[in-house]
Amino acid sequence: MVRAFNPRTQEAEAGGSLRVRGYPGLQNEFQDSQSYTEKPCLKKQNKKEMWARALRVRFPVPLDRGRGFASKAGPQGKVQEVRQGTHSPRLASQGAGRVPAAKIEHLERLALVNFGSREAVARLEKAIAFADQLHALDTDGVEPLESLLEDRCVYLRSDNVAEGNCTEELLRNSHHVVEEYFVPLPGNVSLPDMVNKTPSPTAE
Amino acid sequence: MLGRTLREVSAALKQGQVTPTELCKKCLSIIKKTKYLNAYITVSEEVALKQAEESEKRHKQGQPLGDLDGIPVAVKDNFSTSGIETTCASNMLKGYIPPYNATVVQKLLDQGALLMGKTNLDEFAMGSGSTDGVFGPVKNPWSYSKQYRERQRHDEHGDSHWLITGGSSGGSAAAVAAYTCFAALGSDTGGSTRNPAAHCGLVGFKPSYGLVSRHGLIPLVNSMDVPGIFTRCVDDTAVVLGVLAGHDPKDSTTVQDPIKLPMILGEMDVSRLCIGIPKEYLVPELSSEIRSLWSQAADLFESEGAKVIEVSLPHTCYSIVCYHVLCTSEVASNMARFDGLQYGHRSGIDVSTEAMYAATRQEGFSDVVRGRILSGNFFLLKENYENYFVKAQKVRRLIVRDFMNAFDSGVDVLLTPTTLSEAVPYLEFIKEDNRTRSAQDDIFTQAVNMAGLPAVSVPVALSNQGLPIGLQFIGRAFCDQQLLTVAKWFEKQVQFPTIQLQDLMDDGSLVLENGKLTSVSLT
Repeated sequence: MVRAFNPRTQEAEAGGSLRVRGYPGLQNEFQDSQSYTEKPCLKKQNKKEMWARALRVRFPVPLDRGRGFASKAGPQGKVQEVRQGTHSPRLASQGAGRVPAAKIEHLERLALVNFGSREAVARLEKAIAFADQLHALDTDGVEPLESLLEDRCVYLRSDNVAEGNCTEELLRNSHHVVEEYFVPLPGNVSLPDMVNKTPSPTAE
Repeated sequence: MLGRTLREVSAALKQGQVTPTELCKKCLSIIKKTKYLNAYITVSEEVALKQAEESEKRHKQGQPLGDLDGIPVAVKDNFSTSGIETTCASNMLKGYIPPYNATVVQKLLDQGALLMGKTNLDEFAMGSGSTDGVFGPVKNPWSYSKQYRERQRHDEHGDSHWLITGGSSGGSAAAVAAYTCFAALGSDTGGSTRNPAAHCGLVGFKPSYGLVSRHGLIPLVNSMDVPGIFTRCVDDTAVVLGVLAGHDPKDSTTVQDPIKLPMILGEMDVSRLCIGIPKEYLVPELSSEIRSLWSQAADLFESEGAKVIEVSLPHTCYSIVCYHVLCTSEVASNMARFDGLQYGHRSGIDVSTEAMYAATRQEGFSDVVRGRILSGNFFLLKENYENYFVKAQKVRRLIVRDFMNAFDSGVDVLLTPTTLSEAVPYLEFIKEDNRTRSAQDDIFTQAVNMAGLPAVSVPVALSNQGLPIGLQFIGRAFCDQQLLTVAKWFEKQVQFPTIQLQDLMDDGSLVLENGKLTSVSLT
């Protein structure tokens, strides 16, 4: 027996939409200690009413695709409404902040990876804007989760040599080996300026 | 034989109805016939035949190792396999031959499985389409199925409209869907096993974090990665999981809880089950077909007496953002090991160590990988660490709590869609960049990785286009067996049709009757 599915439209509790204000990213380079000082203003809804309505229908279909809502309670029971994007979920509609050139260079040095093009920098900016949405969420008093196994004692082996003696196998995969040594290059030469340039063999 | 379950084939091998060598040769020939799918990067023909020979000896002596002895399997190319090239579909590891087997690979081999080859993926498992590896994209076998083709307009029969498999373990999915092997290993960091399973009409299982060893799995995100399993039916997944699960001294993130083996899925009393439907997963982008199937599935459980309730996972909309930050951060850290010195590609630059490292990574990594490394490094900068990385870790705890609350309210299993839509054509898919697509496609699957819960995608029905649609079940941590029991019951109810691959039907390899595989010729 299959029950007929009755899609009811979810009423537009939508009334006043609460825009989640994103962050300007790196346009303003201030970072206060919290850095998420801007909190979206909270509109108190009649929570009980909303939940009752939501539970009555199994799958409410939003009236208008562009204004679909999901209400959620924050960690302290505060109700925040987040506007869902029409397109790919929650790609920030706010403009992506520009990342200054000095920071680009810094990242390239740290990562030892080139951006290589203006598009790549633009992609980073979009990624940052996407990540900025996290700041809208209040996480006061919440401990960071480092490992899913945090309430267990993780196994540690006893400190006995059980394996090894595989020097040949390990050296086999390297391109440049002398006797039993991996061969790098001089390490006291600083990395040349790599912003938007692919490294060339004659880099100073 | 190809249409049978693992246990049935194993029984047939034990009784001598078929030999491992015959099975092996048949699968190898199908691999050759379906080469256009680009599912395999490396086909380990000699290795497989040798293994088949040894398996045959054991069977003749009446001493098979177990249910997997003589069974062809495939492994995603980010698992280390001793003596067999392991590339992660990247230039960085082209030509890299690991000196050891990943624990899960070793476990399969110890049970006598035949390794058919290493399957294609997105580079370093980053992506949701299996389109971004250096060996080219993987094609979804369903693009060539009768069910799909007969619903297309005549002028779309050319090969340019082929569909993606989903990702990142698309090669493994295509390999199993095209009958080149009985089971395949994938990896699942944000849905990389469940997504292609849904698109290819397979069972795609993600075990609980800590249940299966990650030793030898080239890491992407240490706190979320798990090996995943692809099979054509839930029982087969249980067989494979029974072999793979368990503590590994070489992976300290595997738990030491005892596991009941063999993993046999019994009957289930549906009337004692409580199914949760997370309401935040009903997003506008979800296709109406999948929404309808989701609803019908819920109705099905209810009609059999199960309690079906709506639950709330309030932080769902932040989940993908949190995943994005944590994933890129851990990736930036894990990719730092590729410097060209001890293994992998090494650039010819000889000016300095740093210049050599930089050039190696420039040449070895694709744009996608480099982009994630740079994003990750940004979030890990001293000035950003608290605001992005630690913040994301806090949000992760909130998401884990959401799941815990849902399960604590009496829910046994959550039921959600796996993907937003059926498989899309490649030409459609590449219109958006990798990060955007991942953010869209991982939406239902990544929260599960953040919470470390077991989940399985079960194929439900064909869409109006004739393409597979899957639904996802999510279970409590370490209740993998219970989850699979529910999935098995559901699979039996929906009776998902067999793929009618024209090539294999034309030459008599697959014989179908009423849409069901009846026999396979071994010649």
